[in-house]
Amino acid sequence: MQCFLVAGAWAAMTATLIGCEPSTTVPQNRAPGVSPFEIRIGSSSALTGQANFLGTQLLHGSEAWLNEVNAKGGIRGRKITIVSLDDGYEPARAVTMTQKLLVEEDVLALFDFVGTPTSVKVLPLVNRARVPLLGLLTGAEALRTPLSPWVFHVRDSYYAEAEGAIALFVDRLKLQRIGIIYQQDAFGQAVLSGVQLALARRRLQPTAAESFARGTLEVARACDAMKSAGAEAVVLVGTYAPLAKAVKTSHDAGFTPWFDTVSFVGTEAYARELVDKQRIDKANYARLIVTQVVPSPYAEEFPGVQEYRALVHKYFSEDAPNYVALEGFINAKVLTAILERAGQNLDRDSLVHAAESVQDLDVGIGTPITFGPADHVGLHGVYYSRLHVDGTFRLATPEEISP
Amino acid sequence: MRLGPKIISSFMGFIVMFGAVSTAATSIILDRRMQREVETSEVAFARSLATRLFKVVKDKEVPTITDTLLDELALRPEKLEYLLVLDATGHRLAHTFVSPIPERLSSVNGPFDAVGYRVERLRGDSINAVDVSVPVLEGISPIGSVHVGIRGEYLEAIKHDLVRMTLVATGAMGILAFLVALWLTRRIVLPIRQLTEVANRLSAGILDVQLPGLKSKDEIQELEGSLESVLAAVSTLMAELGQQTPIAGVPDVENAHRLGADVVPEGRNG
Repeated sequence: MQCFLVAGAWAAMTATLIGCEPSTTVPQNRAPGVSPFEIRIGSSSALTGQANFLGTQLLHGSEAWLNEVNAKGGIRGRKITIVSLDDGYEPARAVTMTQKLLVEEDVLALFDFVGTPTSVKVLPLVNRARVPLLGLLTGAEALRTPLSPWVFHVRDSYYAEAEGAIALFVDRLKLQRIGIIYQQDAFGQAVLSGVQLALARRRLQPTAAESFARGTLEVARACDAMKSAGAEAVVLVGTYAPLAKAVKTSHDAGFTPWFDTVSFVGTEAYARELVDKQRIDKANYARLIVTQVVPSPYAEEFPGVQEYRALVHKYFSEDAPNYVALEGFINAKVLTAILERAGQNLDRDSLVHAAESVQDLDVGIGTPITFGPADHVGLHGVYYSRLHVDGTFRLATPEEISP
Repeated sequence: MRLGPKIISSFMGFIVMFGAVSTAATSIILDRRMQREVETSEVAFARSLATRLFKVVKDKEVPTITDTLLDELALRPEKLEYLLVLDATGHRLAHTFVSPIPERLSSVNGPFDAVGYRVERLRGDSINAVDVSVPVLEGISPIGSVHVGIRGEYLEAIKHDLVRMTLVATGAMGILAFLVALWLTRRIVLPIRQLTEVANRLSAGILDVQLPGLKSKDEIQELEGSLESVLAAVSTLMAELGQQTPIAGVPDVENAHRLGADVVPEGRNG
């Protein structure tokens, strides 16, 4: 009997010690960024520098809708405050600003981030903080695959935009020699990959691929390479200033291929740069394409776009309607719909659950928005815009775009 | 208590005591070893970081410092709780936190000792870490400090793993000891029991007994030998007694005493 008692004591001691797990300290605070009267949302974007048009217009578009929601009492009695910080489209600053939003500014969620290199750098922070991030002005695949449970994209991807561009050039215009000039960073690599994949699906490869340093206008060498390769169409990837310079440099060299770029360029700023600053020949306007992920800000057929124009006029009367601001406006409409669904007991987890429950949300742009646990991209579809003789990019169907 | 349970319980008692003492000793030794681990590897890491960050700390390039710290943290997320850089006045320049910074960290900027680093255990509501800090030096003047926060959970997990292994090893030893005790019990107790049985039969006057025939060269085998001698002697005497005629005028009992035989009570002689 005694030996069993001793063995039992040993077993109990072992079980007790083996059962001891390291202690963990999990702070149980209130939900960040939520008070009875306020919901704080953080944004880091390019408010200064070469891409400032993108950051300011994205925010203006969002604030046009959020100001209106706040004016009508907010979400369940809580006003929405956007805490916006300037990262200047610099990845390291984007990290610092995001950290500041999370640590010092007490925000519930992140919203309206601009750019691929900045967002890619911020992503690990977002995952570690387990903070929802909605509405990024980038279509980079690195932010979509693998799927982050915390990141929700309203717009479609660069892969979709690249597929759209290649479909237009190869399938519609029957071109075979496609070149690409891309910015040397994560953004450039993201679109380059999309173009390569889209060409590979058609058993083609880029005729030439050249890069230029981000934040510079050093595109001459790349333009020469495209001309030497005899490219019939060139996909440009970068911000509006160097891209407009590339178009001008090529035209000056007597090289006038089709040029396409993705929506991130900032269509209106790109048009101004092409028309007002570089003064390219009007005869070549029709061969300049920008793929878009939202409808035209001038569209009359969509109530959501009309509402956007009315509210931007109300709150930012000096702003002309533009694609980036419309994207910001749509982002904000999705945000408020999610906040509404998340209910009164709002926190980061409930926000994610609410976002994943969004099905066929109608924001008045003709295409419903749907998320799900395995699908964090709300809108699917690409539009084409072409530089019109009046110096603005207007939507065009593939059939309207002819050689 | 019988001999078998005595042997087994003694063995098990020893093993439990050995297990408890060795586990406690392991725990203490590991605590000390981990302290040394902290002082060697993490101080070296903090110093290399301080050297690399010297220029950006001097220029207070916060985004670059933050970027570097986050990259370093991403390499060892299971080990590091945080990285923190303070300026010469103790003001936070950059860090890796993504939620409000624990209050406890505001007091980690103490003076460095003669060896040029500090190790401090931080425990609080929202932090459980060991803070290892080194100065960022310009010549001999500190222009800031680098703090490496090692997860308390990480250190405790290592300790628990090793203690667990010690306990498992002790458990295995316990099982082995139990089996050895059983074997020993069989080896010692069984022959004794057999010899006791023989002795009981002899004491009952039964001479027709079979000794177990032990092979071992030990005290028990000697005991068997002695019993065998006794049995042989008694058998011889009984045989001699059976051949002699009783001495005239002397009662049987007295004759028996003379022959040196055991006094066997009447009715028990079989």
